[in-house]
Amino acid sequence: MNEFRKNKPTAIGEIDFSLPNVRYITLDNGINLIFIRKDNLPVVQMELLLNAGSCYEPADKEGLAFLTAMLLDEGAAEYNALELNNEIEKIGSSLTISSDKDYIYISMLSLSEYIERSIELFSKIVVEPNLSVQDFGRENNKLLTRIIQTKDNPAALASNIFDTIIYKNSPYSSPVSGSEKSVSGLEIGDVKDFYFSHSSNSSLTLVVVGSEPEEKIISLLQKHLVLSRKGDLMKNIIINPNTDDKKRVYLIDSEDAGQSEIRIGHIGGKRNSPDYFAKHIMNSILGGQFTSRINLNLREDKGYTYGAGSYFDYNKFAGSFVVTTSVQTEVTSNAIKEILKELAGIQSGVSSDELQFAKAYIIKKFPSLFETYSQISNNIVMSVLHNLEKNYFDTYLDNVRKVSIENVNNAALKYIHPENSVILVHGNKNLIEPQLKKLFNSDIIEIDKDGLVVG
Amino acid sequence: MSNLLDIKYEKFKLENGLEVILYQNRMLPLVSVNLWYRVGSANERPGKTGFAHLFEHMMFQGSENVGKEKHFRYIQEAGGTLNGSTSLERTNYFETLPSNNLDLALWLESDRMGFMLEGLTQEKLDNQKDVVMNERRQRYENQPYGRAWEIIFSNLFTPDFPYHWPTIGWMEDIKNFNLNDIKEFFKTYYAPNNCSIVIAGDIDDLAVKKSIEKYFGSIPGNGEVQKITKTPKELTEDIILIHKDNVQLPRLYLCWMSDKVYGLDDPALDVLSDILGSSKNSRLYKSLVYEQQIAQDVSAFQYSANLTGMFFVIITAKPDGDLQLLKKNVEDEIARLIDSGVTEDELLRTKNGIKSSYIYSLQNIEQLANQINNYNFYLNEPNSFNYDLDRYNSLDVIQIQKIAKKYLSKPKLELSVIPKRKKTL
Repeated sequence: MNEFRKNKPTAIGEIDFSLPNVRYITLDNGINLIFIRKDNLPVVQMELLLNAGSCYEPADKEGLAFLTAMLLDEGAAEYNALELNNEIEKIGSSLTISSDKDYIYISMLSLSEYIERSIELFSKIVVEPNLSVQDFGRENNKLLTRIIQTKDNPAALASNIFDTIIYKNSPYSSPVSGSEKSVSGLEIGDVKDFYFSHSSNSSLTLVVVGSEPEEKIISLLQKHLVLSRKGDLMKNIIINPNTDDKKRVYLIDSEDAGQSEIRIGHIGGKRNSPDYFAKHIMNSILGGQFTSRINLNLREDKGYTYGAGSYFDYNKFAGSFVVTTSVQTEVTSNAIKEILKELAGIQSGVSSDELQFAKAYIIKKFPSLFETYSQISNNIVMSVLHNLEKNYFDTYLDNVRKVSIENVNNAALKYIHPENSVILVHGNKNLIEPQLKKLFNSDIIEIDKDGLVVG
Repeated sequence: MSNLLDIKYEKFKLENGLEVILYQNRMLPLVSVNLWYRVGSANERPGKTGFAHLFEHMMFQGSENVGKEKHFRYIQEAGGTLNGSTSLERTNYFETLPSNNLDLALWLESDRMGFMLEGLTQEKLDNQKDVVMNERRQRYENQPYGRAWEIIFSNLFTPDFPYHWPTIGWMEDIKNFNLNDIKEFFKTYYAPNNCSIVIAGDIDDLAVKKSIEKYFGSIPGNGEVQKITKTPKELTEDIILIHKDNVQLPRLYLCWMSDKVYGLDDPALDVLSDILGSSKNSRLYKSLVYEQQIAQDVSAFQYSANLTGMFFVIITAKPDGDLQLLKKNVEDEIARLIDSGVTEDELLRTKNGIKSSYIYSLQNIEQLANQINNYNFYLNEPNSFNYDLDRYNSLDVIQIQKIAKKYLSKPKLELSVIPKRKKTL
């Protein structure tokens, strides 16, 4: 055996990485443009953020933002839905429209040789979407079917219902797709009102990452993205944590379930809080990556699962902390016990080795977060969504380095609450309920696939 | 455009048979290391299914000089990402990390290529069997429609044909693997001469060559692994299957045997699938989802591998939808296509989509490294991006029509996944 095999090789020198230059520009019509020149491929990525996520939906109109996103590319200006799609595909562009609790996102990836046509088509969608009654009928029906479909997917269902419980009585509680009842009640007028009142010029942010010069992008946008929508509906939404702590163990019965889907957690604070980096490091040790405590315990030691982890999920006005895993039915309560043990464990502190590892991981991974056009765009979108400082990425590495072990331990005490966690299990009730009863004194609340309490 | 896709690489073989491909690309200070071992689930036999995949898991459990979990920990500590995957005929392993730490990846990969058995224990095997059984539960058994693939494969192919079983394997087989299986498998397939390694990214050719020789040069080669050359039995009549699942929407799977990967007809089958069922303007989507609104979604694709290919059409019905009606519609669309062909516009749209997807795929060094290994594995030429794209660009409408007739008028497999009936009170 060669000696060199026994020891891990060390890194040679330092790598040289500089952040892309970010340009913040306000177009003449008031729309915010964030532009990054990236030249290594003839590609342009555009993404528009509309303050039109599900948290802005009027009461009883859950699913409206989602449906609006579905309808936006169903025809625009002189093109019906099929023609519009054909025009986009003819130039090899790919358009994606999605929505979450905070925003609707319209994004398009194009080849630079078709930059003008891409901006023209993209603008038509924003400026003159058809939003016709006929397309509404079809898409509304598709959404209703999709809601039914989601109930067949244990992981998606568990995550939706977990949010419903922890964000109870707040605009973040309903699933973005809405319910069968709310979506059946929607009309085309709702979609039009919602879209036009949530797309005023000054509320729009467009992120462009591409191989074309800034002046060219600006002039093409001035030419095609002609919009004069007034008003600003940026509401500040306050989310109160669900402190109904007597009700904490929830069960969704699925009699033929092949595993138990588990979600454990609670409200977890906002993304732009000053102790974010301590939180991030703490979670990286707890459950944020493969060699975290939770995954090593549940997967690599116990073999209960294919994978387990934890994360802070950040929406604009509130976030949550959640542990997620899917385990063999027979070991459901053992898995929950181990997770709660890890949550309590992190509160007793982390070791300096763990801290060092997590910092190295986060710091050295940084350059790879700026590899693709869409990664760069997503980073910018994230910073806009959470209203981060403009120098956020410039100071990122220093901010990670500065975190002390006390900071991490304080973050654990402040943001991890095993005793107040909601515990949700989706699985075979007959096999799970007896296990849960042994583990918890509190009532086990059965809920159906719509998130409503049974009985 | 074609310049962009014409990549400069260097390829050579070590004395022990390891194929090495170097590709310099300095867009970021990152390097991607990508190994393809020429072994997959097609090398398994009945009773021992799922082993190539379980073995892949064991490769992350450490080796002589690398402790359990350390492979992950070292790469992550260096700011890298890593994974592996198993398919019918290859198993790949890859790390992408800051380029000043390339030797770390080479050390880890060479230690498990040469000295994996020295780190093996019964405890590790038992643990990973549990993990893989849970992977099977999570990704297939507790997934809506999750068992469809293994039902199709095990009915389309005879039991002796190596695509008969799923890559994850049958539960009973996973349960029964022992340490001897691991040792045998390692000795047969995990040798430098059965592997190719791509190192792509911010590299210095001279330094890399030295490191490669240092870490891999002394690992002994092994006997040649025999290539699998079986031919599947053609269907002589339609196979009709029904499976009840925990789903509320019925779904229809239609599957024809088709041409193998990089076969003469493979690109035309890709184009055909795109025209039939990829986007809003594809024929099936337009008819079933957009106009008649009797389907929730539609997809079509050519899935091709070394021994054969399969052409799929998959349609999810609306609640309580009639799968036979959907099937009739698909057959009518196919008949129309065989009869009157596709339009120039349809072909052009598909070609443009494929062209831009090739450019988009160059963004990510890990994906690029894997594609280079793919071309080397199947075509023995790492720089095949232009060749690959030309396979599509050179097609005309007549060829698409011919291919539709040649393959889609043959007998097929039909699987209906239907909801388990709700209990009546």
